Amino acid sequence: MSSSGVRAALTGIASYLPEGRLTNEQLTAEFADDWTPEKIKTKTGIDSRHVARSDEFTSDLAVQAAENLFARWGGRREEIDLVLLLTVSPDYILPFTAGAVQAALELPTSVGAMDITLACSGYPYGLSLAAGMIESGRVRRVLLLTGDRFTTYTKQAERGSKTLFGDAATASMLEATENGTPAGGIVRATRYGTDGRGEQNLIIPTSAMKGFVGKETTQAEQPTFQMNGPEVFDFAIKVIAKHVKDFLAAEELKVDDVDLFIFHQANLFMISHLQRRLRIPDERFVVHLSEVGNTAASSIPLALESAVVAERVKPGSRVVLVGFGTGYSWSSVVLEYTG
Amino acid sequence: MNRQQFLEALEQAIMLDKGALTPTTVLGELDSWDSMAVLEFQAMADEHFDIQVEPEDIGNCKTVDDLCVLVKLGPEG
Repeated sequence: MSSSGVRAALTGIASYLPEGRLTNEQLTAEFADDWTPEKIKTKTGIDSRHVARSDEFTSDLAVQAAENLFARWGGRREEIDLVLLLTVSPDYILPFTAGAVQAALELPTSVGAMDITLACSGYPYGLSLAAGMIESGRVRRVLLLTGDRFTTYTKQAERGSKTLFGDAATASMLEATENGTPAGGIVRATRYGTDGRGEQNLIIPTSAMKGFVGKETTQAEQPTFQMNGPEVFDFAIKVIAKHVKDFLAAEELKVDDVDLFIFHQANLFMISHLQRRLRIPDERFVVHLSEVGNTAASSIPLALESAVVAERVKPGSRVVLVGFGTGYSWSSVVLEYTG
Repeated sequence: MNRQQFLEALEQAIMLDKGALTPTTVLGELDSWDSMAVLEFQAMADEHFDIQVEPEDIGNCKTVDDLCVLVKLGPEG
């Protein structure tokens, strides 16, 4: 919390979904086994996913999301001090992708920009980092972007992973707020968690140094996502359920004190299980999977945007965001909306 | 949840006909005993027995009876 009285507010959120679609019918035709479109829908909650064009990369997705945000945000882009881009599918390993975004958006060269390589746990981290920078007085406005073309990683993956992931980008505006102006979702408490022993359970092994060094070919292998489903589910039921309970207890909140919970939209099976174990009623729990799938760092802001549009988030709402995934890594944040 | 209810819930979760599973059913011979089925079993163990079963232990199970042992359901359970 700030000692100066300045808080950070989430004042706008927008997204971009590429036009291409991958439906359950297309997937089951490719699998040619006993999986049906209905079975995929029942287990994952997903009907279809968006897929980027072959010439549409993470920077392009993020730029589109930012332009959609600027179209409805009242401020001028020159007022942005810092760009944070959450991505695990950068345009290049080097240089970082937020630079390409800065150039494409024609943001002033005085802006700070960096990538953050977190995936499904990333959005609460991003909010918390942006809030810390704003509350300390170092910056006034942060453009927090998420973007991934994750389907590139699942093209040759095993069946289960192919059904889950989609491509997307989002853009969020974080601004310094004093005495309630401007209004928005005030970033309150945060809680983090990390357990690197889970490294091998959600991984792209044919990537970066350990994917390249010592290989006989100079041809980059298709980077392919690998998931150990039972280990990841074990992590979710042991660690994430407890994390949410501990977070609420530390903030002296009960489930009923929270108007809306938005979990990383991993898949319906997993988040519904967590919802039941934490006894969160349906009206306080957001599911936003059917048309977008699991979009890594974009999943929480996409779900939050949908909740704002559906007027499930209003002035006075208290919203808890819970991210978790590869690493293992997890993080949660409380937003309190002013109006 | 007793043993019979457990078998019926597992049958439903992995889309088998009622009565398809017996304690001696060999998991490796079931087409539907795939990674998704393992997740279903983990979820049942957590939700109905408050037991978080280690994935490795599930991998070591050969029969439905072995799964019952993991959730501490005895022959009379």
